Amino acid sequence: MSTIEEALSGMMTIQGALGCAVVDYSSGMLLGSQGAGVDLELAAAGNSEVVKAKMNTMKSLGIQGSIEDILITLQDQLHIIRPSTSNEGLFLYLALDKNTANLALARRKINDLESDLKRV
Amino acid sequence: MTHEDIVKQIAPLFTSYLNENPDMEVIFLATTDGFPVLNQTAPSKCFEDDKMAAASSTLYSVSNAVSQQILNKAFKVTFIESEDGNVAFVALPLFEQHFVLAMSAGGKINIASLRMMINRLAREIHAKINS
Repeated sequence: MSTIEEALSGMMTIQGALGCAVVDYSSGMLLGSQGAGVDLELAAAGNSEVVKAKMNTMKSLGIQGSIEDILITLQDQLHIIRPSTSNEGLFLYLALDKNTANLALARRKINDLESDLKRV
Repeated sequence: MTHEDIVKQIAPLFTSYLNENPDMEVIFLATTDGFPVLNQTAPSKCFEDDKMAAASSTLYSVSNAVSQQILNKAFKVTFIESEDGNVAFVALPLFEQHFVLAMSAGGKINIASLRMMINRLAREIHAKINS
């Protein structure tokens, strides 16, 4: 099992990684972050609203189950949000450079890192 | 349920949080009227639990008053951020009694982590006491 710092270092090894964070979505606060190029504090707060909005929408629609990941495709970047199963209320966040990243590999790697994240 | 019953049930939870998180320093439970119920500390820490209970009670009242005045809602968490560490306080209602749970940690545990851990511990205490 890995710590938050190890998970962050793992995310930064993903090809095209610009920045990454582990975020508490109930408060929008960062538990940890690495990388530059993205204001991760602001991204954490903003993407917490994305996660909460999606969860509320699922609830309204009566959709059972949980979110595996959320992909946001921008013109030059890809953002992956992956809620943690070992730490309820947390998600892993990764911003990637669209030109250099491989989305399939990045999703797979972030899935592995999330599965390996130990309870805080 | 008496305070002794509560202590018996939640002491192992306090121990496990302290053991699992080497940077955690103090976990403390007091009544909102200022009486200590249970505290566990890392070996390097010591404090007067009477004073801590009185301070927690005061902080609970002030936090609640501010929260009620400005937001018209009861307070949930209050933080004290120091030079090298943080302390969090949460309101914890159990069996129609009101308590304050406090947790402090060194600088390696940031506020977001501390907030998550104290909220999780509060939920676990609530579940254990009410089960």
